[in-house]
Amino acid sequence: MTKTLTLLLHRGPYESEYADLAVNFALKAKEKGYNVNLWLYGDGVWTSHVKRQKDYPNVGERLRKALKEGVNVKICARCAEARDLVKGDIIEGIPMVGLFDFTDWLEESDKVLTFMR
Amino acid sequence: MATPEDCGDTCLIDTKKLLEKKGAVSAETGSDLLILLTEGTYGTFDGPFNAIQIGNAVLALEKNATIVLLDEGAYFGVKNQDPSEIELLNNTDYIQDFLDLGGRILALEPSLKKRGLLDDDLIEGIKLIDHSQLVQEIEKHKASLTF
Repeated sequence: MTKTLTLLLHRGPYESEYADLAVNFALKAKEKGYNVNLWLYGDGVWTSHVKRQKDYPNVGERLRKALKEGVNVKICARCAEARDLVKGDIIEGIPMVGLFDFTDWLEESDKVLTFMR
Repeated sequence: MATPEDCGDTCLIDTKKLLEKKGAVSAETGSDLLILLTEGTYGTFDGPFNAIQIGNAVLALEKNATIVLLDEGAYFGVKNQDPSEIELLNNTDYIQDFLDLGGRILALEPSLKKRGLLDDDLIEGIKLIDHSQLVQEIEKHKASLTF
């Protein structure tokens, strides 16, 4: 039976390695056969805002890859609203949702990991 | 644009509605979610607030939630504080709602002592634990989140 892993990212891109770690971890877990959920919370929502090409490590590009590979990604609507992030600002295919979507993920998960600090 | 109006009380947990159902959650059988809060009220904004919002969402589903205050998180449980005067969030109402809804808040005693805090400094209902009890809490919960 496929195991479910839920990751909570609470730090923004380029302020620390945590956004990169969370997205890379999600990709690797997916590759290993896990059902992977990635919840972007607090400043973690900014990861969905990295859309343009860059000549340095690009976490947004890997987040798009994660979506393509079937990682479930959602962002906290309240956290987005607090930062004036609107649907048009973020990578396509990531829904802005309320906290009960996250608690649903908690319920179905075999493991939960937090990425912050 | 997503606004609190779009997602109603799923954006910000409406604890007033939940308190009407007070008593639905058992305070002593907590085993669903453990939140380890390592950030205090001061110097941070989102971490403690987001942590307790998840806690209240879990309680809203009539599941059990426990918050452990450790490291700088010890300051989160101090009573009679109002950081809104320095333009930080005042989470004390959310803390009280969490307790009233049957959530458990535990504080790691060594973290308190290192910061010159005493049991009496904390909001009523917060219990002290030591390191071995922290291990027991981690063991008995299905999932944990760290903020």
